[in-house]
Amino acid sequence: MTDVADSRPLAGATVSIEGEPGGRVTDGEGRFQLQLVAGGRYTVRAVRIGYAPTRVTLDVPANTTVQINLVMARRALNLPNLVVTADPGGRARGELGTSSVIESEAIRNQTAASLAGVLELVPGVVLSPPGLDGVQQFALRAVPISGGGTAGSATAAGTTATSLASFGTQVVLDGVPLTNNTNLQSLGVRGELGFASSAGGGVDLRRIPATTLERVEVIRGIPSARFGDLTQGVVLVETRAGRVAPELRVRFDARTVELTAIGGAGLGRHQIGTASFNAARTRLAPGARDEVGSRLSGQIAHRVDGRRLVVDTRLEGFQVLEDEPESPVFPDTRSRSRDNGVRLSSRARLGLGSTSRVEWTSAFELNRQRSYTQAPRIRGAMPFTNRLTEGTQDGKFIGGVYVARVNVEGDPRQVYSRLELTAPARWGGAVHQLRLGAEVRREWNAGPGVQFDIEFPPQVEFNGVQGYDRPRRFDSIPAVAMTAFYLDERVSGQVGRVGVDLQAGARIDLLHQGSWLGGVRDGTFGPRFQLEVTPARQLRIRAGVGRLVKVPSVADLSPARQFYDLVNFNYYANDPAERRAILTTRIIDRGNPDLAMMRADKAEVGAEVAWGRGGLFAVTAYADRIRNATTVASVPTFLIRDRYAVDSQTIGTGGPPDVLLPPAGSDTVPVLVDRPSNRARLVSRGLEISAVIPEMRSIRTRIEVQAAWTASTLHEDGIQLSNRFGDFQLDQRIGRAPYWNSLTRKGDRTLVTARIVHHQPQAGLVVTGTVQLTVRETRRDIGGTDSLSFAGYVTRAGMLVPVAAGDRGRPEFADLRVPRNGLIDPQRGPRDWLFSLQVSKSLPRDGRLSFYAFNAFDRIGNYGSPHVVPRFFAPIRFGLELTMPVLAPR
Amino acid sequence: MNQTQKGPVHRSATVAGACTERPVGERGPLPIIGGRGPCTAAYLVAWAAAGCVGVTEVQPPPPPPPPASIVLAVVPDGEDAAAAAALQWEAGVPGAEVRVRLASSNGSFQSFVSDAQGKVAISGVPSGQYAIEVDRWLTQAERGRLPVGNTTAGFALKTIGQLGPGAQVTLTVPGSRRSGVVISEWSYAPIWSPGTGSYEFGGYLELANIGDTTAFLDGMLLGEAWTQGVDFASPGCAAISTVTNDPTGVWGRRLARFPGTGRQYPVPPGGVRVIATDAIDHRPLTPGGIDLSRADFEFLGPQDVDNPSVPNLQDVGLFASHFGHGMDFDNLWSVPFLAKSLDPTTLVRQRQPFFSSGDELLKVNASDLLDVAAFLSTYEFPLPLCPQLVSPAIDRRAARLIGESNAASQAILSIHRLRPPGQPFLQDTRTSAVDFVSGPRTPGALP
Repeated sequence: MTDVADSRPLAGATVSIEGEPGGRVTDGEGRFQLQLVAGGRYTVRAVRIGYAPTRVTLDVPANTTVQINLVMARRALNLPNLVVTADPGGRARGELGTSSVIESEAIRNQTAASLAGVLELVPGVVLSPPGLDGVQQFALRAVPISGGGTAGSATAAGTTATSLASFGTQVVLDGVPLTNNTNLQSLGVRGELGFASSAGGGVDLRRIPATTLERVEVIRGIPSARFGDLTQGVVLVETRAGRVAPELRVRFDARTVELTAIGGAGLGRHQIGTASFNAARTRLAPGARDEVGSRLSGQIAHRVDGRRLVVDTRLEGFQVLEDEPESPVFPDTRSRSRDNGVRLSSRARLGLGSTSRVEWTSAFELNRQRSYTQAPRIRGAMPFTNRLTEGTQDGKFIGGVYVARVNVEGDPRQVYSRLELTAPARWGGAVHQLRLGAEVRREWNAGPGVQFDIEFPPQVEFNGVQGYDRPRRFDSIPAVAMTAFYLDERVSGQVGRVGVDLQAGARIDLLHQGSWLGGVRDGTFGPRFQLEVTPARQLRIRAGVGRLVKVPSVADLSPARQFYDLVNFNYYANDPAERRAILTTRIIDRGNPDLAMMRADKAEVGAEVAWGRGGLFAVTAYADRIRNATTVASVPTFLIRDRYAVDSQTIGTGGPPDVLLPPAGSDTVPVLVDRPSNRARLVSRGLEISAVIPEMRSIRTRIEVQAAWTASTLHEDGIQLSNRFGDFQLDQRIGRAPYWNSLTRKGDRTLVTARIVHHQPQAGLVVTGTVQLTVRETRRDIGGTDSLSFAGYVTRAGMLVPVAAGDRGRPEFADLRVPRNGLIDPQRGPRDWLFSLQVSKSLPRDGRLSFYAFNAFDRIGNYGSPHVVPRFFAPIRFGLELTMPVLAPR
Repeated sequence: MNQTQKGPVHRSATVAGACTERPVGERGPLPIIGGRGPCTAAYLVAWAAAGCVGVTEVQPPPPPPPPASIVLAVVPDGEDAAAAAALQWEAGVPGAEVRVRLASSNGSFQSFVSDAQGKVAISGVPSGQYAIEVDRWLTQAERGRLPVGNTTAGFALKTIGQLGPGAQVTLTVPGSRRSGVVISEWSYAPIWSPGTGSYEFGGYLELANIGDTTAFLDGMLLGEAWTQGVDFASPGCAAISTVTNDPTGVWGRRLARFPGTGRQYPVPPGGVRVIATDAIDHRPLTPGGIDLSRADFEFLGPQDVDNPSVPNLQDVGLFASHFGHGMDFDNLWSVPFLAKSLDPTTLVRQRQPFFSSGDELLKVNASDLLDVAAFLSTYEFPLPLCPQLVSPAIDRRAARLIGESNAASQAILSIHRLRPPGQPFLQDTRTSAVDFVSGPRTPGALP
């Protein structure tokens, strides 16, 4: 190990094999030795204080000793083997599944504003300009298609493949999973107003600034049994901590400004402290609106490094704010969404013997979410009730212009703990690593919930049956508790001349009813199996299968009650004193006691071939099937509405009329209950290819090409009603309405991303050009649309009556023979080109200056049309990022 | 001044200017010559030879021809042949006031009166596109000569025509009939407020009895014909013409029936009746709202309010208003109609092939229609307009009068049936473009 600047030996550098435990420290002459159990392809990683980390991938034949010379540099840009993209052949630590490993230099070169920008280095992820634009979620291996939904109900939109996939992608930050299970910041689809929120999907990645990241590992394939509560993959994030040279980083472009300060130092003999701070602000629609997205983030990390006991403690806090103030163009219209969070986490590792250890991880996270949205509304005169319980009462009449404002205030909480025993051993000529663990998590929401003046509700589509909105407290919602037990073993050895790596494990996930660890509501056994063979030095073949589970969100486990307000008497006299309205409120509990965890069965095969110096070709094929995905089903039922007749006319008397009892009549009103259920299936297949062409030394340029094809099919079991259900509901003359079997929605996308990296180590200069092409993007619905495609009819009493296919042409069903609309004809998206450019140059005193440009030649076509048009808001961004060390390097 | 050049002039030479008239023997200045070389020399020789003396004859420009007379012939429409015959006006309408004005002008009209043969000779106007208006209202004596039951009150027309010198233009004027109850005011343009959007509940329709006898609204049908004003890709104007150009009737989904069983809801001659979507005082609810609490009738929907003092029309159509306040009328294109008292269950009901949703329409036969109007928005649509909103046999031409109403400016207009000056009745030539104008809202009162 030598210093690239003067070739002198470097002592005190820690060298390890990526994905393997342990490591060695270089001696006074910069030497080190690592023992490998078998031949194969390995990535050697070296870290040393005051130097940029370095990685080298090499092929080691079996039963041989390979000598390598590693160089380190104070400035990463001076490293000859600098890698500024994700390593397609890398492995997450302790994992065999297909992974993308993104090191610190690749993170810095991305000039991303948050973790979402860093994840664009993963195959199949669409580029986007750096900034805090909108909620940023990561949906691994999914095409953006939406579910069919059920027209005529509150959930006409249905769920989407990307929300399912982002909800099922786990983000682990410094060893502790982040969760979005208790995020209730949503007004639902009935609300006419809305605001930015990641509720129902994955974690909003804007809370994690890219400038504080050290390393990101994305397990795209099948994670080991260590990981649970997911259906897609895992994003493992390590923030920068330890003896970090203090630095200040500033970014500026036309829409985003960002400041990061970070530094770490030893605190005595065995302690290290690190502090980081980040502030960022993005103007979201300059020139059109004054909408702003901003972030504050800070972390204090402390490590106690004893001989056998290492304790890492982190205290981090964040705030993500999206604010749309009022404008003269839209008076009284504004919204704000503010998410704050504080998390205290600790990881203690106690060595047992020479190699075994036990690790205890715990965390407590408090979040505070405060959102509001407000807009003027106008409505005609209508009967109204503010009753919060079932029953009949006199209402009143409301109408006119008002400003609707709704506050949604949630306080998600999480308590997490994991105890894990790791016991490596060597026997039978192979290295074994056994992991045994238990995990406990409890989540709840302690917030005040949805609050508004009920007489000025945000929703105005009162049709005489669908109820007015009601406030709802979140702190009355039962908590969710989960426990898990897992066992995982990895065996690495040699069979003949073939290296074999096998990882097998199983996990039991339990979802508990109610508070802490009460009765089991649902439980799953999830085996995981990965096999990797290295038949030749430059060839790796792997395959894996596994079952994963994801708990439903609290919003689905404990949905809000559904209100129905039926008008019984409607007497709007000219004299307000003579008016009278009588309404009956009915409440239906939408909870589904049978709601269970989502299950995903995953399988993948892949191969990697290395060639030349640093060249690599990797291909992975996968098939994922999520069953029991949670979505909302519209279940028909009925309510009885009484009609009252006036006892006597009171016009001119100054008083309201009396009504005759009993009711003069009643009618049956069909209604839909929106009940969460495990009725969706998402099946995704795909192919990922990564090709890294060895560096062309004469021009110091390296090319990497990624291609990802993904095809998704989303199907929701159950029925679909027409968009005329509202007419059927309200018109007593219509006796029945047709229903159809739910449709299936398919989509596919092919994305090709090419990165050209030109590197001049002597000058400390890196130029990265990225070109991304959406080669193909399609979507279509599969379902009958002709007038004989209906499956049956729903009566006014909410009964579903199926009609056999052979009978649908009979005269008595003529009223049901209507075409089904709302299906998407096969559509093809436009070819889309995205470009970005980064130029980074090292500066004296370990500084760095980067220039970036995104989407300089932007154009997009219209979906379903061959024409090419400019984007509405062309996100062309140019910016600078400057990194300055605070102290002179030692 | 033109000049007749004598002598050779080279083709490539351009001669500008000319010799002016000068006394014989005196040469004029050398004319300016374009071109060069031999052409120039040739011209110089020609010029020298010509001497520019005693050669030119200056001819004054011919005077412009005097404008020729334009003859307009005012003849009654074929539908009014019976009235024309009774009045012996088959050859032409005598005494008709004919007003013309250049279509591009907003100045005053020039007025003329047709002769005994119905002809008008116009001179002194240049040729071009002209707005032409014609009306001739019958005197009491003339009405007395009409056949019994013939309600023709006069003849009226508005049109745009090309008038050119020497042309004979025939103006076919339809009769205006005092036929009974007609639509006298339409007020369904939404009331728009900045920031909140449109208030859709304050509309109303007004009916007036322009006949001589009392009419009874009991059981009459009030509806809106389905139509489409622009040529969408699907359906296009041609596809929907089976309903929008059906001379045998109108097709629609929105239909309501007046209450009553025979003679409970009379409308005397000259009487007006207001049907509101919501018969309430809208003033507290929206800027620009008016008080409709004294309306004569209202529509009732599942989510609106019911004024007990105002009788409700019964919804007998296939589609209630999507606002839940009972029937309302489209504000881009609207064809309201009034029909006789019919049993709505006897109306033809047919699924239309151009509706992807499989919707049906009800048909009201032309013979059952009492009045139909056709209105189109003044909005500049980015697509071509359909040639008609309803068959010309039912209404000859739609009035393009539906406009946005801005509450802030208080410029909320409705569409009124015209009252001819000096006449006690409203005009009804079955041509909405001629019979209606826009004006301030006046529910319950005729202009």
